[in-house]
Amino acid sequence: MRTGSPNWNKLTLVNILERKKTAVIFPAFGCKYLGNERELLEGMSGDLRELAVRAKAAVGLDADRLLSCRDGGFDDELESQYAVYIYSCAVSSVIKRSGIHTDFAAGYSMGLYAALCHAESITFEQGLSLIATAYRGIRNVAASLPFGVGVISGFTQEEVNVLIDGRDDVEIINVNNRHNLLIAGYESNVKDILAKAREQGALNCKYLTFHSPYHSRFMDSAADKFREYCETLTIYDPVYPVISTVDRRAMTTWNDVAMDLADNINRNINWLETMSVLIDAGVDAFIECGPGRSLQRMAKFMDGDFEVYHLQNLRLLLSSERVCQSARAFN
Amino acid sequence: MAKIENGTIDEVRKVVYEFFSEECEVAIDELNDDTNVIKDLEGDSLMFLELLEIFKKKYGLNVELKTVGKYVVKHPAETIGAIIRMTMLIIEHENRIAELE
Repeated sequence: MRTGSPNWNKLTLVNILERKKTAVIFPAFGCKYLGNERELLEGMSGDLRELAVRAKAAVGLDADRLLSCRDGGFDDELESQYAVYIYSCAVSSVIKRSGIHTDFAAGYSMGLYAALCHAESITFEQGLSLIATAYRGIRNVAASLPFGVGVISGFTQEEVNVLIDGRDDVEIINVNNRHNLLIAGYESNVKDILAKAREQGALNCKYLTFHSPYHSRFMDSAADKFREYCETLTIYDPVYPVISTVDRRAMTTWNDVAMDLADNINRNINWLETMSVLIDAGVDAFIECGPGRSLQRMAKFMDGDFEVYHLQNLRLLLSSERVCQSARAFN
Repeated sequence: MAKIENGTIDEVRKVVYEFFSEECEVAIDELNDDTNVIKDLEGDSLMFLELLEIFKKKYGLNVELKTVGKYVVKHPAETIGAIIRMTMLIIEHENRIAELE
C-alpha cells in the first residue's frame, strides 16, 4: 500500500475505472503516404533510421532509398511492404516509449506483422522474414493465373454479394467499412463485377494495380506452405490481445498467432467487423501506427464514439492529459 | 426534400470549401470553384461519400448512394464548383436526381 498520498488509491481507481481503452492499429502497403512521415518520426525518435539499418542487415533493403522515398511510391511491391512495416514499427516504438498503454492491437492485412511485433509475439526481423516469405509464396501462385483485385465504393457488402450472385470465381476479400470493400478473383470476372457495380450506381470502382488475390481461397496452396514456414519460427504469446481480422478472435497465445498468420493468407478478412469488435470492447482511442492515415479515413464510416490518431496528430495525443492519466494508472 | 432558401447555396459552399480545406490540408484561400478535387487535391470517392453524409444529416435528406452514383456516372463532378452544383441538385431533388438529364 502506498503512503504519503491519502487520495492516491481512490484517484487511481477512478482513473482506471474511467480510463477508456486504447487500440493500436497497423495499415497495409498501398496506403497513401502523407509525405512527411520521415520528418515527423525523426522529430520524435531515432527509431526509423535504426530499424531501416536493421532491415538492411536482415533482408538487404536499401535503407537510404527507403528513407528518401517520401511518397511511398516504391516500384517493387515487396519493398513497399517492407517500408510500411518499418514505418509502422517505428511508430510503435514511439508509442511504447511514451508510456501509452495498449489494450488491443490489430493489423489491416499485412499490418498483422507489425501488430504482432508491437505485441512482442514476433521480433522485428521475424516480421521482415514473414513478409518476404508470404510475398514470394503468393507471387508464385498468382503468377501462373490472371488474377485481379478491385475496390468498390458506395455499395454495401450485401449489394456486392448480390452482384457476385453465388459465383465462386470472385469473392469479397475485405470489407473496409460500410461503403467500401475489396473483391478478388480471376481478372475478367473482377472487371465484370466492377463494371456491373458502376452501372448500378457504385460511386467508384477501381481495378487495382497489384494482382495478387490476397485473403482469398485462390491462395490455399500458398497458405499451406506459409503455415509450414511459420512452424519453424519461435512465436511468443502476445503481450496484448491482437484481434484477428479473419475471425475477430482476441489472440492471446502463440498458437492463436501461428494459426492466424497462415489464415491471413487465404481467408477473407473484415476490417469493419474488427474495428466494431474493438469499439464494442470499449476502445475509444485508436492509434494508427504507420504511414498515411488510410485507417483513420476508413473509420469515418464506422459507428461509435471514438477518435483515430495518426502520425500527423500523434503529438496531440502524446501531450494529452488523458494519456498522462492512463500512463500513471498503469505504470 | 429540403427547402432551398436564399442562403442555402452559401451554406453548401462554406461546408464544401471547409471540408476540402481540412481534409486535404490546403488553405481555404488556395481553393476555388475550378480546383479539381482528384487531380489538384488528390481526393477520392471516400471524401465524396463523407461530404454526402454531412449533407444528408444537415438537411435530413432521403437519398440513396446508388441514385447519386448513377447520376455521377452521367455527370461526373470533379471540381469544387461542380460538387457544389451537384449538392444543390441533391438537396433539391433527393432521389429524383436520377430522373434529371
